[in-house]
Amino acid sequence: MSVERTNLSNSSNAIVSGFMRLVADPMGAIGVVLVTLLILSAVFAGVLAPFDPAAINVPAKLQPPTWTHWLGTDQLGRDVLSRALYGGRIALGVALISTILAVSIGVVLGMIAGFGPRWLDNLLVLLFDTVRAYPVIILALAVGPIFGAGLTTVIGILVVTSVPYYGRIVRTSVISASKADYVEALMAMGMSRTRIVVRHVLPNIIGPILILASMDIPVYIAAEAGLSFLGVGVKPPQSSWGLILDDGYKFIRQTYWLVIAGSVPLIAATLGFTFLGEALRDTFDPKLRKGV
Amino acid sequence: MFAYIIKRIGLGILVLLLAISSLYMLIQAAPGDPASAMLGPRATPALKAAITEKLGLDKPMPIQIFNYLISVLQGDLGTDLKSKQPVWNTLSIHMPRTLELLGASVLIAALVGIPLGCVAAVRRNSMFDRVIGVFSVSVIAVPAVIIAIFGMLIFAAGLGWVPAIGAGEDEGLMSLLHHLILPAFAVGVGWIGYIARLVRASMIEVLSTNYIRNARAFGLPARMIIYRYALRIAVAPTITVIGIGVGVMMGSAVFVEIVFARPGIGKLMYEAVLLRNYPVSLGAVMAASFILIVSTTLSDILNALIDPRFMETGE
Amino acid sequence: MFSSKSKLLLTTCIRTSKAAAVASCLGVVGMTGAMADALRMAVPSDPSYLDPAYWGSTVDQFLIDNLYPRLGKYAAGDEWKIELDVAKSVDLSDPMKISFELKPGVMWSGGYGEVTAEDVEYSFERHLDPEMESGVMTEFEHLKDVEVTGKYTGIIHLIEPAATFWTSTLVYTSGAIISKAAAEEAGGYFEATPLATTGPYMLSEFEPGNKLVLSANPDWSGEAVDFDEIVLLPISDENAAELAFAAGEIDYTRSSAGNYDTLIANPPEGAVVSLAQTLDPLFLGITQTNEKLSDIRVRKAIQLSLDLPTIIQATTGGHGKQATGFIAEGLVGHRDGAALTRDVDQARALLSEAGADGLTVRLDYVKNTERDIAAQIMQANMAEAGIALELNGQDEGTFWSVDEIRAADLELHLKSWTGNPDGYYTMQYFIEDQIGYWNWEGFASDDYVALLAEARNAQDEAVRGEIYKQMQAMLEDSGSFVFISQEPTAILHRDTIEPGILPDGRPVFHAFRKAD
Repeated sequence: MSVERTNLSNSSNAIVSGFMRLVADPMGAIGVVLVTLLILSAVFAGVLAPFDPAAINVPAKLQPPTWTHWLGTDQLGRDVLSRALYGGRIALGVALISTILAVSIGVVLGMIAGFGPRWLDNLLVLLFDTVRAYPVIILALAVGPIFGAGLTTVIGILVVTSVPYYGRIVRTSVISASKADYVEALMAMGMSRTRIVVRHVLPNIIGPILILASMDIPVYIAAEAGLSFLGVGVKPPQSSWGLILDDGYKFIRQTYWLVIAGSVPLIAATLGFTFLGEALRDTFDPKLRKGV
Repeated sequence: MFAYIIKRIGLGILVLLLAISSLYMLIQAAPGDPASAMLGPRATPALKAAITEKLGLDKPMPIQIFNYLISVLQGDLGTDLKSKQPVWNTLSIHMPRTLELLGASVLIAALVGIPLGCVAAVRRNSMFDRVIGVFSVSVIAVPAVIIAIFGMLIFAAGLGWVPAIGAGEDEGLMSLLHHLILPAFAVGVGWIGYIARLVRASMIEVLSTNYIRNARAFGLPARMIIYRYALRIAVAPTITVIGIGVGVMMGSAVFVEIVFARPGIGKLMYEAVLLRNYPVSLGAVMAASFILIVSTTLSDILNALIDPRFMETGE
Repeated sequence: MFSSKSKLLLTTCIRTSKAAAVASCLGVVGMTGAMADALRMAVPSDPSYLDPAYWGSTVDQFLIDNLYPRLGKYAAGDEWKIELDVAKSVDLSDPMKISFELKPGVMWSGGYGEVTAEDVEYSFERHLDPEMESGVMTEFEHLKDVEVTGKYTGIIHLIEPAATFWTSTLVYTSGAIISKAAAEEAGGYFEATPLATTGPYMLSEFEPGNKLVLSANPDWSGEAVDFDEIVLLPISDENAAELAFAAGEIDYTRSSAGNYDTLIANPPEGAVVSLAQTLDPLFLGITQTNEKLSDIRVRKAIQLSLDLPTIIQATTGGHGKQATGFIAEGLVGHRDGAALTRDVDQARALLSEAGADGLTVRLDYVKNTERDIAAQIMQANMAEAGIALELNGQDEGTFWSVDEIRAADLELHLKSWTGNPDGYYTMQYFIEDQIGYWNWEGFASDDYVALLAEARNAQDEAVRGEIYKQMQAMLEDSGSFVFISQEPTAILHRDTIEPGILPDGRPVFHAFRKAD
């Protein structure tokens, strides 16, 4: 009991000191601030938004910023600030769910490939390569009409196209880990393959994977925006930065405020998460940086 | 080495076949049929049935795929349902425009990224290096849509330096290049930071080798050393970008081509999928996958030739 | 050079800029102006069929209207006016037949000789051939045959009186005449390669997805044209077309009426901006054969819930008018002052009465800027009446595909049909036989069919108009139709040209002139 407790406090100390190192890096600090702001604004969107993001007021359409509408209004007279705040929820939600799903499936498939029978490994690697052989956009276009536009489609496309990346990383790590002496020793002791993988190999690779996953969050955020732009993204009356940007693109001859309202949070989010991811990697797993 | 190349090419072909087959199934699974899409309210059931039969859509899926693959191998990609010309003709109009765009994007990324990376490596840990570092991460992170929209607002709409639409293919080379600048920049900008980072890392590695240290000790000016090695150092990252970046660039190209009304595989593909113009969408997807697989295979092989260690770790 | 982990990391970096992949950009403003004697025009797409038996898209229509002769046609100008085309005279006095005499010396391109009465016979009768599977067969169902009485003369015999055969078919796109010799040489079936054509322009170059070039016909002996070439550029996005215009790369394009005010306030240099009223009816269909919508009170509730003036205000910038039916203002059969008005309380009451509280329905529509706006307002309107509207924006292909599965699945659908100066053209589709094909509303009424026949036979326009009004009222009263508007369209052209357009803004190529 007491031993475990010590471990626990040791590891929480490690996290605290890691965090301190993280914010000491200027990029890390900016990342932490931006990401914190984004998360807070998404969580408290309901409180912060001055208007119902779906409330239509056609006579007040396409207004520049005023004291009532800080970021102006869109082509339906909706308050853009409120829409941007709620858009943050969608962006973060999509990123979070996609990451969790892609990492989980990728880890499982990668471990099966790396530790399973040879034929299964070959098959999975072939599948991974096949998925990577077509552009994401065409997959989105082909799949979009089948499942209809919406969040599920977006998440589905992101997960399907990301799994091969995680799968390959995990597979490589598992293969190199399984060559480690202790694994060979465990196998010699008669421990089952599954048990070795889950108990001993997985804990060793999960850290780097999570850091890589955190670096993928901006990819998902931008992808959601892009897919919404293509019409296979979120559906109205839901709001998304991609939809605001799309509206901005369509009405660019009338107003540039929509483009700004859609792009600023998107830039803040992608930069924030990228900076944070980079800093996390440098702080917790400098090994990963080798070579780059 | 030879075995590796053969193996890599074999894998490329297998992946291409699998990709084509799975895409064929996906596209066919989408609701909507080509006759209705093309004829609108005028598609009679009989006409639709005729088109279905003509395309062989009434046969079982494995047979459809097999037939398709066979005719592809014979160089027959079918007939464009819309223009009624061979798909090959349609592709041959669009393919060069996309290759141009991708080539120009890589060129822009390399031309800007390599010097940035070199300078950052030489002035390692200087203010400049840090700024380049942040810049590299930033251009990689910021979605191209935003860079493009602002680029358009400033350079096309605001200053009028570059044209709006098309590829300018009828008005000579200068026009072609002029039309290419903005789209290529939009596709390539994200890779500048990427190449800069790779070049910087390789450069630092080279600069710290004994050979260079010795050369320095013998009084060879640093600048000369850098010039001498810069090219060699720059080659690998550029090849890597071509290898793993082409897929991403092709995605960007879809949007760039649609928005700039620029003929190309991306635009062709997008429109064909919307219209359920199966032969063209398949042909276009295949062309895209082909470009992608050829470039990844080629870049793996080239990387292996440059550095045989790559063979072990690359796969 | 790279350890395996760093290679993987590179992959991650690459993936980070996949952000870029899913992004997009925008183009504007260029340098090259239009070539001296070429007229460059933006069109929504490539043509799909240039055979009048299979035409479908707007662009097919532009080209068929401009390349093939017809007996008569609507003239370019501000008003819908029929003028003779290849016919020297047409006698419509007998309800059972139409006699015609062709102008001599109108030559087909490609050395196929003169346009003769035999060409007319061949062109019209081929639609009746079941083997042909002509897409416009319905429009020719009242044709018995064409009797050739001389090289240039003939008589079109009808099965029963059908005045609309002239106004809605023969002078419209489907009434195009093709060269018998050329068509037979092609095996009677041709697609996007036009056969022999007449008129000042002929198709000279077609690069799918890129451009289509019409050039001056050397065999043309009629009135001279001002432009040597007409270049059609497929630009599907209205905004892109507008930007291309601003960049000086095209001379003529259409844009959304919603952009009209901005265009007027801030016109591109050297541009003339105008507004044209199209005939294309935009309407909401409510499928009564769907279980959820089979109670007329539910359909009426949907009709009453909608704030149509706001929808029109938002999509057309206030330049559109609320429609009262399929027939636009100023045409025979237009209903005056019969527009639906909103009544949310009554809508709620009707829903409760029908026991349909908490109704959820799906709206299918072709996804684009204007339709998205309309659909989102409908969603908000219906929410106020207690109906949850699920928006299903689709691409063109998915939206227009109908098979048994889709037909059974239809609920609400927002759509626009190609209009015709004769309302018969649109209204002939709402019959029982068309359920499962183009009668998505599932409307079926014997009284309606009787009126349709009566209208067809009415030679007197005023009489026909009254019948059309009754028919539109019946459609609306069924609760299955909400007429929204005949959408206006903004037109942009350079001040160096004078466009030749039909009253609805469709171009008539040979009527384009250089401005003095």
